[in-house]
Amino acid sequence: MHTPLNRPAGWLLAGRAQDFYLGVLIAVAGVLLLVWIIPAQVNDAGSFGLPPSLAPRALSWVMILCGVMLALQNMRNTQRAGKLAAREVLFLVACLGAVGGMLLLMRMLSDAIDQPNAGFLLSAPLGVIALTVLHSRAPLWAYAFNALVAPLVIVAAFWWGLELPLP
Amino acid sequence: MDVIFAAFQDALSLSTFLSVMAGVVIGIVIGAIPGLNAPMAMAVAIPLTFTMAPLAAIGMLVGVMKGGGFGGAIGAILLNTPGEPHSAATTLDGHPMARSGRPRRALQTALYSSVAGDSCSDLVLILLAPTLAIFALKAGPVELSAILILSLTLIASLSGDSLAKGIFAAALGAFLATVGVDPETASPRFTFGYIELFDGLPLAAVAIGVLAVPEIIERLREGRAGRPNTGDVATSQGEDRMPLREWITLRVPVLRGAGIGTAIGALPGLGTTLAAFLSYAATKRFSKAPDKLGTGAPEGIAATESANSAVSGANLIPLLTLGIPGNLTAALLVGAFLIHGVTPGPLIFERDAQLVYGLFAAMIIANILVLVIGSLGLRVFALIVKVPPFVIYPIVLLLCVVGIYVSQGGFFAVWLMLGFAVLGWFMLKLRISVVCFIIGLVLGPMIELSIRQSVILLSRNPMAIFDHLFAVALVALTPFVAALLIRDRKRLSDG
Repeated sequence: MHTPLNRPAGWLLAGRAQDFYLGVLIAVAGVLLLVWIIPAQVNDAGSFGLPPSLAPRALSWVMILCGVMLALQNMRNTQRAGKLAAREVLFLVACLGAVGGMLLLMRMLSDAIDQPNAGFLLSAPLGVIALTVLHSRAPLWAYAFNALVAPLVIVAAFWWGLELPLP
Repeated sequence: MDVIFAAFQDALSLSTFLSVMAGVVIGIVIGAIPGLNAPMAMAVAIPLTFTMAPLAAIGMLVGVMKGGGFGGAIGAILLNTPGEPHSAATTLDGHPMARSGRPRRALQTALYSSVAGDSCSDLVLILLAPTLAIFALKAGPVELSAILILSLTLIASLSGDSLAKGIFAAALGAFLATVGVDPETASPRFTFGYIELFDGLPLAAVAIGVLAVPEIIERLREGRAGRPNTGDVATSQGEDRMPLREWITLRVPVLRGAGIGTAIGALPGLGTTLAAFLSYAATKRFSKAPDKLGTGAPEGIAATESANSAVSGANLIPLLTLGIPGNLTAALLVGAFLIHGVTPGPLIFERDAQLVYGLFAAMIIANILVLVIGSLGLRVFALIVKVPPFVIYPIVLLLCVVGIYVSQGGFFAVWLMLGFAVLGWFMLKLRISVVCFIIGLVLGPMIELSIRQSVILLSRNPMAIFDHLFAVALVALTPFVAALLIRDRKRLSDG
């Protein structure tokens, strides 16, 4: 018996239980692995014992079975097991975007300047400021500490302490 | 005997001693930060160990594991914010005791009980593991396959709220373990043309990606909604030291907790949370004043802390004797062993005996250091919970990036870490067990190898299966054990 859902704003997966869709997704991913990824990425030619694709194929079948089991278990279940809201996904994208942007800038500056630690010292403060802004409204000293003191301490520890160069 | 002396000498060398000490400090500090915990501290510390000697590296991670165990109690007691599910049991009495003006006594109770529980289980490990390894050596690939399948099913059955999700997570981990060059034909699998993937996925990048980064992102997100009120931290007036007399009166709950923790830790999959709550329930049951538990009774703290710390040592019993990691910290230790070219399992006592006995010595040293550093730095570590999260989390995330860059020598692994952070975040949100995933990833190559060897052995003479009745019995028992555990999962689950 399906019960009406009081759907909060921002749900990405709604209607049936989230786990139902997750089960379907897992099963589809397993099928894709079997019919596309494994044949394209594993070469069985030349194997004299068991083919290299045996374990990946067996595990894909396990995933398909798990996905089907999960979907069947939750077909009539309208309760949601976890919370997956659009704004949470956006926050994840923003955080990873900040780190990814920092990495791209680090690589670019590192290639351009060609000096150890230069890329890190110039880009890390920006990345850390972005993450601090994403966390909350922090006092000014926190931005200064995170952007200046922390990268300098990290460089000192890795470059002078462990003799490991940063980009 | 010479090997044991040499191992203790190795463990007492300055570099190993300092590594263990650094690990203990890192573990306590990261464990004390609300929202972070010992496995995350270990994941973050793995890249730092790449350039170290094997014993120093593994000793450091053992230090992190033990320090993190006590560090978790600091946040639980002072802030009522457990970093791990098992610390929730410590908050039941720890926080009320701290709020009643005895925070130092609560922390000292946790520290002494944690070290006592840990030492007891380490002793059991040191005495039992070499003997059990002799029996384990008699197991061939067929028996090993059966044991691995049973263990993985056990772990999947007990992790999270769904067997299907648990098995899926383990299968996904094992699938990703096949990335790299095939051990038999040397042909690349799932490398997508990247030469960096020929050696397989870098464990440090995957572990930090799925474990640490999603948690940090969640803590950053929580910061927008509000954060734990550090103004509510209980403070000591300096009059609440724990007298030795009182500590001795706690010997019964401490020893009971250590026994429960050791028994549970020796079985793969049953976690620290179960040990902590079982020990707490047992103490309440046998207490002369059960009503006092939950209102700030030291017995409650002693029972939970000794039990959850005892799990960590006992978890190394299946790891060192069979190569099976029973929980997340043990899985990360396997990763560290493999990074340094050491394969855990019964043969480790023959091939790398000096390293294993060195590890035992490092565990004893780590316990002593947790006691000394914890006692001396109690006031300082208590201040960690007051450090604002907008300072901690961005810097910890930056450290994750730097650690992976330095350990893997390039940006590729850092991008991989970010990719796995996405996977880990969705696993966190959809309640798919990260523990099963990591254990599947670590056990994957071992399972593949033993199953391949078994199939080759049996394909020549299928009737030879009857020469392996123990393995047949284990495989036949697996679905029944899983069914029993699923029935009781709600009660036994690690959360």
